[in-house]
Amino acid sequence: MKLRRRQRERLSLWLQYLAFIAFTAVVIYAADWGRLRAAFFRVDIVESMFPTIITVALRNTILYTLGAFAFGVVLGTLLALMRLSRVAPYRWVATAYIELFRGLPALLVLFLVGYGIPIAFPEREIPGGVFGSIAIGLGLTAGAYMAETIRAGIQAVPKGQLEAARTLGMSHFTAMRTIVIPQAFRIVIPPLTNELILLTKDSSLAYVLGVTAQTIEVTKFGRDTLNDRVNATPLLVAGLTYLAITMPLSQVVRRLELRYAKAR
Amino acid sequence: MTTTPPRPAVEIRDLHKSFGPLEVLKGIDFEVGHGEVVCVIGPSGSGKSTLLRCVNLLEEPTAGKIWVNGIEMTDPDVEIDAVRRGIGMVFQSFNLFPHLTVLDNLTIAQRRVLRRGRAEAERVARDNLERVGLTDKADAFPAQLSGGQQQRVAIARSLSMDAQADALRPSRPPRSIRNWSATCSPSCASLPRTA
Ligand SMILES: Nc1ncnc2c1ncn2[C@@H]1O[C@H](COP(=O)(O)OP(=O)(O)OP(=O)(O)O)[C@@H](O)[C@H]1O
Ligand SMILES: [Mg+2]
Repeated sequence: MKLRRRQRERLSLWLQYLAFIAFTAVVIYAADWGRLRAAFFRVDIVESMFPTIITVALRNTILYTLGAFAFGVVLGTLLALMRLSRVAPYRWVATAYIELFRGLPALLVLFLVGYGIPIAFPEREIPGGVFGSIAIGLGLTAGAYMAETIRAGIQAVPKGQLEAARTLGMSHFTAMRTIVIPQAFRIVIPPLTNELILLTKDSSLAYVLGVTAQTIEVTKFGRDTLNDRVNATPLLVAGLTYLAITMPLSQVVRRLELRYAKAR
Repeated sequence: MTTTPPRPAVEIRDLHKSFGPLEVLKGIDFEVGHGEVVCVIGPSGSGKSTLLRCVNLLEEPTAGKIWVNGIEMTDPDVEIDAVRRGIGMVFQSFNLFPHLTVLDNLTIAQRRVLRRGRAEAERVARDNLERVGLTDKADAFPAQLSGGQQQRVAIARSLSMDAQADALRPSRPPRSIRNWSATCSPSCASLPRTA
């Protein structure tokens, strides 16, 4: 029998739906739900984790992430402007920094800030304790990545924008600050948000600095609870907690992109 | 500095400009008197934009001297930001600020450069929008405007920096601008005063 093209396409579509449903049914049937639930979804353990996972762990995760992000954005903007500077030594320093810190593992940099510096300067203390160390430790690396993103964003703003601003009598600095950089930031919001999501997950590295009950964050909290209860449920709860912030974040970005698309 | 009787608004002497091996301006001399309207015409790529860009130093002349209102632009010590305030320019591609509304395009330099307050800057901006017939577009973004409308915003933005703008509150737009708006309304690629 000869089928027309439309009919063939529709048949193929239905076959694929069917295969998918069959596959899902097999998985559901074959899985040992009793054991999975016992290992990953013990309601009493979930309940015991609240409200601490929100009021302490999630709060700290968010604080560490925002601290590192803020430090990284400021550092990255500075490095980006240095890389675009007319003063050659600024360019050299920025390039060297970026190359160096992009090539080092974030964990190593965190050790450096958390342990290396205190050993070298025992009489001094990094302000803010764990928060300060993680913000600086992760921000140093994040800043190197953000510098390249921000530089690309600044260069993506047409040259005529700076010229028009200068023609209106603005100084180079004012023109950059009110005309070029705001446009560059709209361009770099999606990649920077990506960086924020990465940092949200990297904030779990805080455990290497030796966190206390007050400074604990989501991953370490999940792990500690797992140790206490000898059960995997805390990992599921911790995972869902991360998703609860990273997924809305992507939504926010999508909204912002839509709004800025109107102004482009 | 200049006590001599009024000098021309723009004075250009033996202006040369090269881009690498390409010599675009080969010794230009001319003057523009106050209130005089001058049209520079020539084939595409002949250097009209380059000439105008040299006048406010967006391009560094290779040789020659330029004075605007008696101030030498080519003097290495010139206060370039201050002098540029007195020179209006509409770019060939308009270069409106896409992240700002039409009104903010007109007020930002007034506020940051001339230090006018928000209310005064907006009054000047709205007056100039009226002159180019775009009062209803104050809150639009440049991307939402037609090419001709963008050009009129660029004209209004330039006029808003006029030192005498405070005194200018025309009940009707001057004829020249009404003509511009008329020529511009459908879509026009180039007008005499663009650079
Ligand atoms: N930044 C630049 N680098 C190299 N060459 C340039 C640069 N700007 C302009 N030119 C060249 O200088 C010449 C004059 O350009 P210009 O923009 O002044 O022309 P124009 O008279 O304004 O032309 P049109 O009527 O098409 O706008 C052209 O040949 C152009 O390619
Ligand atoms: Mg031109």
